[in-house]
Amino acid sequence: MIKFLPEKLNIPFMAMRWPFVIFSAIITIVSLVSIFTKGFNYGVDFAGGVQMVLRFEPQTQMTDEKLRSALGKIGLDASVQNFGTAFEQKDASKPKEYIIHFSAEFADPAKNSELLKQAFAPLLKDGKEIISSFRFSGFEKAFFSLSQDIPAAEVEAKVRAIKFQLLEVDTVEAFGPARNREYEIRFREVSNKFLGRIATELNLKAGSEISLLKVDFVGAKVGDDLKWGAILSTLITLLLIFLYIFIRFDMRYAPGGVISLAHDVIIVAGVFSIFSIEFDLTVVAALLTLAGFSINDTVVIFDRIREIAPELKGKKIREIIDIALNKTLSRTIITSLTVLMASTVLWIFGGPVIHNFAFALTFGICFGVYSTVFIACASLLWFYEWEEKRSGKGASGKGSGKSKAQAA
Amino acid sequence: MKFWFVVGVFLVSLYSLAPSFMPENSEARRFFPSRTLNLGLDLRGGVHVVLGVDLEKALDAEMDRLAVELEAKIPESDLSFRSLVRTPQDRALKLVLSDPQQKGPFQEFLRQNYFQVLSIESFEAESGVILRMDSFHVTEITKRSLEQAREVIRSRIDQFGVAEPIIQLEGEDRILVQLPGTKDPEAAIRLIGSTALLEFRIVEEGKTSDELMKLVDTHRAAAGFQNNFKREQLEKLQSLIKPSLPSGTMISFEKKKDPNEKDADRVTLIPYLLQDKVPLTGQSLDNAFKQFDPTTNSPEVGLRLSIAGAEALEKISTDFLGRQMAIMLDGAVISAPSLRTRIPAASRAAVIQLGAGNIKDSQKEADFLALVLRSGALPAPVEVLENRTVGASLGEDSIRSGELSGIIAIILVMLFLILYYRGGGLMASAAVLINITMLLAIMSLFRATLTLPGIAGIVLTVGMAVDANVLILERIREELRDRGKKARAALESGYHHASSAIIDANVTSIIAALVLYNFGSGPIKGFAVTLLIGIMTSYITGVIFTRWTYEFIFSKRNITELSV
Repeated sequence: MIKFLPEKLNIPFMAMRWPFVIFSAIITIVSLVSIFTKGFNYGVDFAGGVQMVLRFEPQTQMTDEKLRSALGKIGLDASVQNFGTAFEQKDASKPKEYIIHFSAEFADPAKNSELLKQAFAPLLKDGKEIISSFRFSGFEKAFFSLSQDIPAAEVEAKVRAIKFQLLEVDTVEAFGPARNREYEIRFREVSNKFLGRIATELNLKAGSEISLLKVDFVGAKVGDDLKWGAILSTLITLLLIFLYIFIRFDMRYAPGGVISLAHDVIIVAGVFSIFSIEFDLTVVAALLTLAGFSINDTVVIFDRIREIAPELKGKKIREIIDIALNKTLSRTIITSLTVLMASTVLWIFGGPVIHNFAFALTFGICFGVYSTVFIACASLLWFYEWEEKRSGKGASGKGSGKSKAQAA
Repeated sequence: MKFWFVVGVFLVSLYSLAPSFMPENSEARRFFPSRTLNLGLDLRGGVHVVLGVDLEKALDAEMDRLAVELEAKIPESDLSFRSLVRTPQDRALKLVLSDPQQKGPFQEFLRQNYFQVLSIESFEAESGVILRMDSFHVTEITKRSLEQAREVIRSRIDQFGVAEPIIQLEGEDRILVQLPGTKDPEAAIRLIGSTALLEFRIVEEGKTSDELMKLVDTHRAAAGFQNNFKREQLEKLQSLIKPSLPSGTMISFEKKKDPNEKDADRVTLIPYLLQDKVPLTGQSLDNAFKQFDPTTNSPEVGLRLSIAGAEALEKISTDFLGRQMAIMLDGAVISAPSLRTRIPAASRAAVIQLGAGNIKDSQKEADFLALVLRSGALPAPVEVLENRTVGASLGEDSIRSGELSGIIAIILVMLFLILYYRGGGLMASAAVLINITMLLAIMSLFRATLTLPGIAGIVLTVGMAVDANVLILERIREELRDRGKKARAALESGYHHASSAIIDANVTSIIAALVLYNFGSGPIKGFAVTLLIGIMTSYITGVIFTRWTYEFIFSKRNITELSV
């Protein structure tokens, strides 16, 4: 029989908890500070804007610098990142793939509205506002309406004279009933045109040497919605798990479980913030999965504490926790190992799309085990002793007996 | 008995999964269920677009329409008014009655004609009545605009010819469109959001409809297609047929559903010979609304034209009196009413009478026609809020890396379990295999979407599903070791004691997955679904199935030692 641990294991976890609690407190605070001051390197999901994945065939021998300078020449202030893990990129016989991300500022209503206003300013009469509204509709067209009649040909000439950032005017046409004085600007196809421009700049053939694998356009509105959704979902998950543990166990257990969960989530998020790793929707999915999984360990140990407490009447709660921790330790290690195996495999072989997702999980699972032992159980101990002190009851066995009755 | 059930479940799962791994047109597929795994857009490539519908604009348009209608309706009753204006910025109407004492009768008038449509916000004798749209009506218009927008988008996508598109309402003002495997995503998006072109053309009488039909049939056969529902087909046909038509004319079609035909999708195309010239466009229209003929009470569409439009129409109705005028949307004829009388420019109004037919159908037709004339088909402008396009090659790469990591993870975990727990580990590994086949089979049967994060979810499930077995096996080891129990008793108490922790652990994972399902969209939702199904199947296989199998083994043999 293979065993990782000796049979009569008796590590005094609770006695050595303080250094770990202080360590956790420090990195939690560092993470929080980084999250609130530095913030995240948001991916396109949250930051909005345009993200494209470009594939360069091997014969193009593309490098980061070449691509960056080409984008700079086009006037695109884009971030350039390798798409895929480092060892996939090293192989020179394979195509190179890059993610470029740039803001959707070229589509910003306020900015473009200002451009239009300036263009029409010479026609202004009696200090009237000429543009009454301008809205950019997604990727390739925009609407605006005028508050006074101007011949259509003149409107078109004015609009065509505007230098829009990155956009090329295709047509300007009146739209809807004439009395609304609404016009529609159509721009030339945006993403294929970008690809074409990049290709021309680099002297490559679009389609055969350089191709577009993926385009994400996320409007600012959606990005903000998603950000709130992510924060709200995380809080709701924590709250629901708190309630569940409160119902299944009791008030002394619930805070410990949720504190250790929040600890895990904050630290993983903190690592993403500190090292500026791209934070996107899949990372939020990983954080929530982590919340569901990391609490497993805690629940298993809590369950064991509750089970053995009546059998060990007279012992101190601190000893009971230690016994439960030692008894479940091999299970904790084995389960975490199998999940860790799965997530590490995903991290290495899962491909670039879920790279950050797998990283968040792998890292979080390691922390989950640690926090169960030192954070969840330490909080449980603290709340237990605090309640004993408050109610003046000495026997811990009695207390857990009561909790068992509550749970039943 | 129970053990054979486990074997049965495994075989059925394998059977229903098999077609997903067979080539598309394999002969063997005939023997298997037709449902296969439904791959998400991130795996098969395609477009995912979230469109925002500008409902404010739709409500503004409705307010304008109500103002025009009130102008006509108030004099029909015993009331009269001095002025009626839209208050600027604010979605309200300001009405000054001729006789300020008519509060009672006016309220009665509103109750009879505009119940739950318009309500009085304030009534002041001198300054006037402020009218606002009732909240019922706001909800109604919002709902209708969204649904109409969805229908219009659906019909445009059908025109584009995409297999299995998903078009659904999302949230309060959003429409989700998913087009799997589209080769030209930008063209698709352009088409969805395009502003429909509204034109009026005079119907030419040079050829009879039989002659036209014959002409169309021969050219269609030459072009090699049966119908011309798609836009590119129509354009090709039009250019082919052009030389055979009188100069200055063109051909287009009206899509008509046969009322006697049961199959609602069957439509016939009626050809029209039209003048090339466009004497009137949607630009000349100020408003269009459904109304009822005062004498026959049948539904019709009332038009209000701009001054220039009214003048143009007067000339057209004089020149082509008695002829048909086709209303064309995006190049297709949607209706061709006859010009029965000369339409004087002074009134700036015109009426389109609908053909005889059942009253409910013509009401619907009037609604639709008014909508099209008013807004160029889309009831409110749409804008692209989110657009995610995944190329097919990236999808293939993702499938490959998903499969690779899945297989490696499964092998690693199983090897580890067997090395560590031997007999018990073998059982747990078998449970993992059954778990995955069952999970995939359920996804395939319920048409749940498998996404790349979903594959990650399956890989994770492999790791997590083992937890139940680890809990049980560790407990059995403990019972054997610390309490000196016999094999059978240790097994029983292992399952018994581990069960509460297993259930607790699963419930917390379910909580997280449910929240995630609610939050996410597309790939993330796919992940949550996989996780949810995975938690269920892993409980069934890891706890129930392994137990039944142990029972089966115990019933066949007298086992005194457990290999754990």
